Order: sequence, then C-alpha cells, then structure tokens
Amino acid sequence: MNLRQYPGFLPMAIFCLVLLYAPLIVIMVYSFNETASITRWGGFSLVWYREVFFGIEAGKFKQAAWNSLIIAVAAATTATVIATAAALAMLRGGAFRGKSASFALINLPLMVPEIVTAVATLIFFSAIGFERGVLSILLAHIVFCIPFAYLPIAARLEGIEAMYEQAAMDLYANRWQAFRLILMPLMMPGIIAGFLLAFIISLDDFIITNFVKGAGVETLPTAIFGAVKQGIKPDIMAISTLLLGVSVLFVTVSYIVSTLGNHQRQRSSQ
Amino acid sequence: MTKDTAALDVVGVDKVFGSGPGIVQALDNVSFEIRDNEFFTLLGPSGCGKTTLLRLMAGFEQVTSGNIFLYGEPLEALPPNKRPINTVFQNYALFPHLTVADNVAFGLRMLGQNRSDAEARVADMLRLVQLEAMAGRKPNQLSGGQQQRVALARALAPAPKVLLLDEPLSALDLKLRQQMRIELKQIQRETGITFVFVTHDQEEALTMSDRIAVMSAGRLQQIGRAEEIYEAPRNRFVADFIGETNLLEADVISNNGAGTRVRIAGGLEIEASGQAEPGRAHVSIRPERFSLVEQGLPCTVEQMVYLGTDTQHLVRLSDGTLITVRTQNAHAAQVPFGPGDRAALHVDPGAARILAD
Amino acid sequence: MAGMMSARTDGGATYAPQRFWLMLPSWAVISFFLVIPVGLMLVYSFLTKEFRGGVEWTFTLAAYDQFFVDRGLFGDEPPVIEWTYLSIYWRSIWQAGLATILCLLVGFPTAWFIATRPERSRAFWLFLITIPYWVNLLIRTVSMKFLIRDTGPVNEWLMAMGVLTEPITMINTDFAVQLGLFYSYLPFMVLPIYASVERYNFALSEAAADLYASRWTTLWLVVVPAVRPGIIAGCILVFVPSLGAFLAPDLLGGAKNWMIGSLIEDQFKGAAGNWPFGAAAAMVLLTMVLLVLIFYARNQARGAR
Repeated sequence: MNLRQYPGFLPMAIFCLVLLYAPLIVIMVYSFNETASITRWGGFSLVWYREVFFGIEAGKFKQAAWNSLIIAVAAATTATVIATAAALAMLRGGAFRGKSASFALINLPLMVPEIVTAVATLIFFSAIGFERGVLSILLAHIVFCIPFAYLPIAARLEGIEAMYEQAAMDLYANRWQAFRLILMPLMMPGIIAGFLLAFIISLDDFIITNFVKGAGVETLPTAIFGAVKQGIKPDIMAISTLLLGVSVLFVTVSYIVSTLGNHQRQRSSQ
Repeated sequence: MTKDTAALDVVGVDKVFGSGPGIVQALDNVSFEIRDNEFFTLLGPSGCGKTTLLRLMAGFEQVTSGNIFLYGEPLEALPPNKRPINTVFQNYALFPHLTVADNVAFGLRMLGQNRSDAEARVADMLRLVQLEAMAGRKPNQLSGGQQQRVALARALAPAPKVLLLDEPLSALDLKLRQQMRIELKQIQRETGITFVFVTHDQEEALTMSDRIAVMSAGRLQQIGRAEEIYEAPRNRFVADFIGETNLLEADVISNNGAGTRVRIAGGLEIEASGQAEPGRAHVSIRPERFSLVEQGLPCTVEQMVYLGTDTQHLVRLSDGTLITVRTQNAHAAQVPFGPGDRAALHVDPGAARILAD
Repeated sequence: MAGMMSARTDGGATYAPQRFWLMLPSWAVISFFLVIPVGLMLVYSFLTKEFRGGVEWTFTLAAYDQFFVDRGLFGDEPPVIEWTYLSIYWRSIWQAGLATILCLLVGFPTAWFIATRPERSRAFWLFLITIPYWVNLLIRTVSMKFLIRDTGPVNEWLMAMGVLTEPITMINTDFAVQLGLFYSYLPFMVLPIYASVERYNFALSEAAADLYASRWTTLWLVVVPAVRPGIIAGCILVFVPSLGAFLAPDLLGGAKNWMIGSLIEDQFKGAAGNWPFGAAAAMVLLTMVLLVLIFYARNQARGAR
C-alpha cells in the first residue's frame, strides 16, 4: 500500500481549487460579456474594456490606477531597501541584544490585524496634523510592505553560506566590495521576489488605504470598492480582470525568479 | 626578515566561543611555528580546533588571547582583506555568478592590479592547474575536481605569503583525492609558498606534509615529521589517532638512560623506548610489529579479517588481553593460523613505546 | 561538537560592525508608524468623543463603558452587561473559528496531496494555490458576491438544471459571510501545512505501518503530531485575519451580519463617527489577537524544547 496516498484527499484538493478559482474565472468570463446584463451571456465582446479605458468614468479609474502604481513602486522600493539592510543585520550581524525583539518588530505588521493598523495610523496622522493624501498612504504602505519584502530576502540570505563573502574578503575585498560584488548578486533573486511581493501587497491593499486616504484621493481598490457599493457593473469586472492579470503576472515572475535562483544554488552546491 | 624567521608564529593562542554555561574553549594555549616554504598540516578529529586555528590565521575570527605573527609581524589588527594570506575553502566558495577567469582575477582586481596584468596572471594560474580551456565557464559547469583547482588557482593568484587549505580534498572521491595530493605537493614545491593544510585524514597528512601538528580537544598534542609522529607518538591520543595500535598496560621494571624495561600482558618482558617513572605505564605496539609464530608467548586466535594487502588477526592472551596482529599478505601464506587455533606471539625488538597519558 | 562549532561560525558576522545602522531604518519606520500609532490609539480610547469625528483631550472611560455596560436608554438604570457589541465579537469569534475548522478540513488533505506529488507537478500545484493567495482580496470577495447573488450564476445554473425552481437567497446571510471567510483565507491554511508536510519524513509512516498501524491511525498518531507546527501556523493565519475581517462581512453579509471589522469601520468611516469608541473596539480586538499569538508563541517554545 502507498502510505503517501489517502482516499478522499484528491477530491478535497480538487474541491479546494474549484472553490478558489470558480469566482475568479466566472468574473473573467463575464467581463467579456456583450450585454449590459450581468447575468445573461450575450456573446464575446471587449466593450467593457473600452468602457474602462475610454468611458465616462475612465478618468477617475486612470487617476486611481496611477496613484496605485506610484504608491506601490515607491513603497515596495523603500521597503525592499529597508528589509535588505535589516536582513544583513539579522543574518550577518552576529548575536546582539534585542535581536529577537528586532525580529518581532519587523514582523509586527503581519501580527497586528489590518483593521487595527488602519485605525491606529488614521489616529496618528490625524493627531499630528499630517495631511491625508498620497503621501500618508505611501508611509502606511511602507510599514506593512517591510515584512513581506523581508521574508524572501532573509530566506535567500540564510541559504547563502558566509564563506562567499569571507572568500571575497580573503581576496582583499573590503566589506562594501564584498557586499556589492558578491553578496548582493547572490541575494538578487530574493531581493527581486521581495520587491515583487511588496509591490503586489501594496497594490492590493484596501482596508488601510481606505482609512488613511484623504477625501477625493483614490487608489484602484478603494475606487473599485466605491463602485461596487453602487452595484456590480460589467466595467468593474473588466477592471478586476485586469488587476487579476497583473497579480498573476507578478506572482509568476516572482516564482520564476526564485526557482531559477534556487536551481542555480542547488547546482553550484553539487 | 632573516632566513630563519618563521612564516607563521603562533604564540599562546586561546580561543573561547560563547559565554556563561554555553562556553566552549576551542583552543587552549596553542604555540608552534610554521617554517618558510613548508607544507605544514594541522591534523585532528572534527572539533579539535584545527579549523578554528586556520580561521584565526585567515582573520575570520579573533584570538581570545595570544598572538599570531606573519614573518615577525603581528596579525591581530589586520582584517582578512589586509592579510597577505589566502584560503582554499572546504567547499571552495567559488562565486557562482562569476566565470572561472573572473573568480581567479577577483583578488588581483581587489588589490588594484590593472586589467591586462591581471589577465596575464589569471592565464598563468589556469595553466598551472591545467584549466585554460575552462576560463569562460561558470563554477556550476565544472566537476568537483575542476572546482577544486579553480579554488586553488584563485587563492594562489595574488601570490600570498601563506596559503591556507581547509580540508580541500574532502569533497572529492578517492581516486581524485589521491591524484590531487600529488598535484598539491607539486604546486607547493613549484610556487615555494608556505602551505597550511587542515585535514582529519591521517593518510593525507602523512603523504603530503613536511611536518604535522596533531591536535585534540583544542590542544597541540605533537608536532613533527610524518615518521616521527607515526613511529614515536608522544601520548596515547597520538598513538591511537595515527594508524592502528595496541595500547597495553605495563609494569615498569627498570629504567636506564636509553630505554625502559617493562612487563606487559602475559608476563612478557620487553625493552620500550621512552622514559617512565617506576610503577604502571602505557605502551603502544603497532599491529605490524607483532607476528604469529609456533614458539613464544602463547595465545588463541579469535578472529581473522582479510584486508587485501594485509591480514589481521585478533588474538587473546592467557590473561584475557586482546591484541591485534597485522601481517602483509605477501608473507601471510606462511601464517597458517585461523580462528580457534592456538599460536604464539612474537614482538619485534624496539617495537614498544612508552606513552605519556 | 563539530555541529556546535559550525552553527556558531557558519552564519557569519561579516556585517556585525554595521548592524546598528543596518537595523536603524526598520526600527525607526515600524516604531514611528506602527508602534507609536497603536500607543496613541490606546490613549484615544480613553478620550472624549467629538461630533463629526475627532476627540477632545479629556480623560474618560466612556468608550469602554459604552462597550461593556448597559445603563438603559437614558443612562439612569442599574448597570448590566451590554450585549450589543459583545454579541458582534462573539459572532466574529464563532465565524472565524468555523472558518478555521473548515479551512483545516479542506486545507490539510489538499496540502498533503500536493506534497506527495512528484517534484515537477508539485511545483505546479503549489503555484495554483499561490495565485489566489496573492490576488487582491477585494476582487476575490467581489467575485464571490457576484457568484452567489440572487440573480447570480450559481442560482441561474441551479435553476437551469432544474435543481431549484426559484433562487435561494445566499447573499446577506451568515452563510455568505462564512463562505467568504472560508474562501478568502483557505490558501493561508494550505501553504504552511504544505511546508510542514514537505519536510515530513515518510519513513515514519512506513515505520508505523511496519508496526501494524492502519493508514488512518498512522495519520492521526504519527503524521499529525509531526506536522503540528504547520497546522497551528495555518490555523492562526486563518483565525486572526478572519476575526478582524472587514470585506467579507461588509460585501457579503450586509447590515445584519456585522463582524468586528464592520463595527470599527463604522466608527471612523461610517455613520457612528465615534473615534474613542472605535479605538476601544480596536483595542479589544488587538488584545484578543495578542492572546492568541502569545498562546502560539508558548506552544512553539514548548515544541522547541
């Protein structure tokens, strides 16, 4: 008997995938629906995509998309730099007092419920009189992007043996050269994966953004949420499908980058 | 710098890791000299402190107390990138994202050598290790033996005063290992660079080294040429660790200047080299210094193991002591004893050696 | 001994001299924009509310009093326990707990199934689970809303197939909220369990079978204890965000099926506009989550010993 196989586990796995994908696939399919009815199929059409890009509300969604993109790029970049520095200190800094506290601090944004972070940040910005707009959203995003950037970077760095930078220093490189010429190129798959995940997390955030955004400033998720409150229209399905495509693309790239990195490492260690 | 200045002078080095209950004394008051142009081996079981000592020389760790001098200059204040010492790492540590040529050129570039000089030097080094054809490859496209040579070329390229080798052959298979031993020795002679070689493999140490330092539990046990270590082990650890031996309890009978007369198991009285106080002592007798004969100290054969070049007999004396006897198979045809047979034991004169504890 | 030595030296401390400056940005950013704000939130929960949002800097226990104590409509009756908000918290705990159990029931077999695939197809299966994990939660929730509406595809198909004669109402029910939570956080259960099962040494199952354990006994007595860290991590990753969920109750539950998230949101973005009360409600939620995490940390520490 094969001890790795349990009867009923395959149906469960298939049920799991159907449950996860059915709503996404349905909304994708209906976004190509010809008719305005969101329940009956009227034939294939790109009419709702045209609506998204050139319709009455196109300007609003374009502005929201632009805000989302700027915030995601800036937040992910900043968080990646901060997380890379932190990973170097945590994994190449030896033992130091407050190390486990630092680890907890980096992961704190993952542990505090989003709605609590949202409330706290809103109160903070309001108390110090910080104007709520793109900048307040960006600052809030940097905070919760740090742990998401940190995890893949630290995982990658953990897998790189200290002998590489030691070999570089044995061959007369100083610390900065050892980092720039040896350690950073080796860490790159982790850094890219960290950046991409932070980017996606920022792009997807609704709850925190909804709290700290100022009046009239929208990101794509808050704009979609606002529109959904008026009822699900087909153009929302088209936007959702586009955003879904972006997520899938990024996860795929991140996945390929990290697999290639691991593959290379496995081969070199043979 | 005078001719007899030691290449490396290790003076009273202690190294302690951790603190409190987790404290580990990795090195305990270790002192010795490594001579210029020498192939010097640090030999010992894992955890004996040999790698720690190497890392202190390279600068990856700091001594807790004591000093290490490179041709008379103290090394302590120098970080690894300021020491004219290079290392061949155990797993080679070849930079996986750089080509073979770039790996070998790395140290030269860091020392500020211009590109064309570096290229010439890299070509020389790759020729030395016979890998000219592989210059453009990435490390993961090379075999283990080739990676090993690249690591060697990379460490030799900046012409260090001392080359440190941390178990560089341990990842290779037996045939390749034997071949690399010869090549390493040859390269050391050609370049005239002082080699400090760390290994736990006594055969490697015995075949390549000018001198060997045997280490155990953070202490230096004995230092000397291969035959000195093997023939005249100073203490029980060295006798036991290097080769196989019979460690026997003995009563000291008399003690003249040259040697000591002892009575070993079975009541046999023999001359042993080395000094001992009257009373009890330990002696070491190598298995090949015994032979099985018809007449002599009576014993019973318990086991016989065929080992290819040799045959090994385990025999029991009348008082229960077990002794291992090894006979070369060229002569073994004449040894007719099998398990259960009664036989007699003969000891070569001068075979026994008194050991310090 | 050798193992200890390498554990100490292998990680390396190349950047030990620079570690303070390398750590500083993350310390500063997270302290300034998360730790201090949460502290400030605690302070706000003890302040007096102002109309149209905001606070007056006067100390009061009014927010917690409103949360826990019922003094009648005019505040002059003997104090009794206020159930309005506690029942929302209780519903949240109940919904989050049920979602956790359902995710475990589906997630464990799925994780096991993926971990026992051949290397190549395993990566693909894992990829399939990872995608929904990273797809916008809002979009996923909206999709679910679309799917189960009264005139949505599920009802349409069931009627077309003749299973139903008229649509059943799923949206705006507890069922819809539960479905939303279950569906939202299912990947959070699968991935950590998968990570544990992948490291599981299958020789243990063989040893158990060799010693006459049946397949299911082996699963219960050998496999589950071995992959317990993954199961517990998965349960926490589902339970904690479910507890504070906002989108699923808001979009799928409607006005009658509030959870904690909806209550808090209403104080800041909605009609209620009571910041101190919202801060107090968030503090209660944070305390509950911290209790769960402390329980988890202790469990981990005990497992490590």
